[in-house]
Amino acid sequence: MKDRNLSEFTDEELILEFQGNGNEKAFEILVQRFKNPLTNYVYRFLGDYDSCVDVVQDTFVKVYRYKDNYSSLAKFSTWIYTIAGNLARTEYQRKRRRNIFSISGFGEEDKSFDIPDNSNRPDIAADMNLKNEIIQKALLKVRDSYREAVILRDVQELSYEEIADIMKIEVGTVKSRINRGRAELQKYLKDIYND
Amino acid sequence: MNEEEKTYKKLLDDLKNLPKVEAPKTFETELLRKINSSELKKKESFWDRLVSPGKLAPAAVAIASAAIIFFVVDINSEEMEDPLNIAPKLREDLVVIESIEEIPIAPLKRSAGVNEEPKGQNERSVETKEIENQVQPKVGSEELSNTKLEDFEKSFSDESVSDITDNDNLKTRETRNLGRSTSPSASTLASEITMVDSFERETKREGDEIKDLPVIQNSSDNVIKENINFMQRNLSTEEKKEVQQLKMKVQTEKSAKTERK
Repeated sequence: MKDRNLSEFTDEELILEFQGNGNEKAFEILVQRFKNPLTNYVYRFLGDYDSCVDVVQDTFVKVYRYKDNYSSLAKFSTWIYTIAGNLARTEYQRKRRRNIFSISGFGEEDKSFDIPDNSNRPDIAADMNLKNEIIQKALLKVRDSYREAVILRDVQELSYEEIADIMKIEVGTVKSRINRGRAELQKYLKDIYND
Repeated sequence: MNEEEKTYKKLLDDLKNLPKVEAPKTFETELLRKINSSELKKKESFWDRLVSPGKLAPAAVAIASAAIIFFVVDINSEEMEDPLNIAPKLREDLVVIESIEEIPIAPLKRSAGVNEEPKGQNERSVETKEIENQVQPKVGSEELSNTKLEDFEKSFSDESVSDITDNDNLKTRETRNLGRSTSPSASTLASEITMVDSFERETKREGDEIKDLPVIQNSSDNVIKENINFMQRNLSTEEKKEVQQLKMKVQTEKSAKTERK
């Protein structure tokens, strides 16, 4: 009965329940609600499933440890997307630095390049056709700030206001970034759409 | 906005239709494991690790040693003695006299007999305390009795206070004293004359020395009558007569010389 009641709670009520009473069931419900959207968001941003899962888990660990930092004035989704976005950005920059160092290994001819290849992953390969793979690769080419805005708007289907809160920028800036991101993405995918 | 959506219609449709990536089935299990491990890390907080005895003990030792070094070793101390600038130790056995007025010169004491004239010469010489102490027992051991010694010290101390420092004055006064104190006895006339001559020479020489030297030392020529008899022999009556005759002889020769002049 109580579980059913908790499942009827909004996100904000659940996190307040977890904050006030330490009810871990509320936290588990929040995990159930947000694990897939966050995984999708982070995966589209990073393009690497393993890193994506790690980032999402770290996001929930942070929510668990720093639950008291949540302010009831903000939406819980905004808060958790902000955490996930920050961690995803950090991970993406770390991976990029690592790739740069691994590619530019001076004089080490037998050192292999560390370019992620997800084509052999069965859980992703089943869902990805060629077109989706091209779109994902094109997304990764878009500038970070534009890509984040485009994913949040066109993949996650969040409102401009929510995106502005998550990215901590003005709504106008969000719209601008989304447009520029779309244009950039269109440029990378012109071969597909010309056909 | 609609125009933009029309422009990117295909793109937006493709983005919306992208397959939704889902979390793995073991997501919650892995998440719980991470949370539990982070809980263990959280229990040992930064302050707990900082205040742990393993780190407190060396820190306390370091602080204590720093405090000791700070209070014991004062690097910027200006009180360090420069061995080259240390004033030499004052010798207690020397009295430094800076001006001529400080010289304790004792005037010659008028004495009734010839026996005391050498004593007067002794008093005239200025001595340091040490020299005085060295000389006095010598004199006392020879002939002076304890009472004489006391009288000598008293007269010396009294007269050393006097301000007679002028060398000429000293000389004339001593000469006067000699003239007064000399007894015309024939037995001692010869020795008296020689002593007067030597005394005058000595006085002159010492007067010159006083001008140059602020610290006046004991003269080795302070001869008293008692010291003349080095052997300290008691003359027999025959020997005394013989000495008397010799003295008379010398006296007659002297008087003859004076008459010739």
